[in-house]
Amino acid sequence: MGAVSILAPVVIAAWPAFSAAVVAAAASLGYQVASEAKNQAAAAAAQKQAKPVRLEIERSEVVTDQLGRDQHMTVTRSGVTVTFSRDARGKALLLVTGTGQGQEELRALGEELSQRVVQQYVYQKLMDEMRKRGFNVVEEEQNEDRSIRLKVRRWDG
Amino acid sequence: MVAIRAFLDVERWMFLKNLMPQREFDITIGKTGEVELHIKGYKGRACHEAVKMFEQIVGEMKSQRETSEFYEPEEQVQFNIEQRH
Repeated sequence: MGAVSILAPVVIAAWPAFSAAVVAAAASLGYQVASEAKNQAAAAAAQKQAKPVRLEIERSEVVTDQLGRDQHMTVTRSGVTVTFSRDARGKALLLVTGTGQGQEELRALGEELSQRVVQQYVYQKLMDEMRKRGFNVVEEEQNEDRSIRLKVRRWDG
Repeated sequence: MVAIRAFLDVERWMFLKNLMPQREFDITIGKTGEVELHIKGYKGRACHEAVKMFEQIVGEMKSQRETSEFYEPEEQVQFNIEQRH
């Protein structure tokens, strides 16, 4: 072995890559993606709610197109609605609303989902970049603590 | 004949294996997205370059510990050419 390193993730993604991570993370936690029309209605409703929980993904930058369209995605599960978007600085934002849940519960649900989004983003990026560099994934497993283990290998000439 | 051919294939594979070192990464993506990376098959400067590649892909380095392989001499391939007249 040459070295053991710990790396903190930075999410710098165009909207399509970010939304792909949102879809994968939401599906793994049992959320369903709302349709485009419902997306807009849910985003508007979340803004109007008395106290939606607002979270941001640290060390994130979501790049949008030059038109700067209002891009957002909404996922729902058992009365909880989470809307992902980007703020003016490009940071990824989550607005979590729900009926019957307290602020703490909504915050915990939002943090669980945002962490899963970051994990999925890192997973997808690593898989893409490793394949581009000629590595083969020889082992892949999900551990009990929800971490993902990959072993990649290449023979160098 | 088949046995000889198989033997030559194994010999050729062993020869190529020595010329082509195995590079391996053991990657664990934690539930918060933090990545623990075990680098195998890279020594010295090549190991630093491998770490840099992961910094570009994943993000900021939080900590690093070099292992014994890191301090081994880097690979060198030597060819002995004998000229006969």
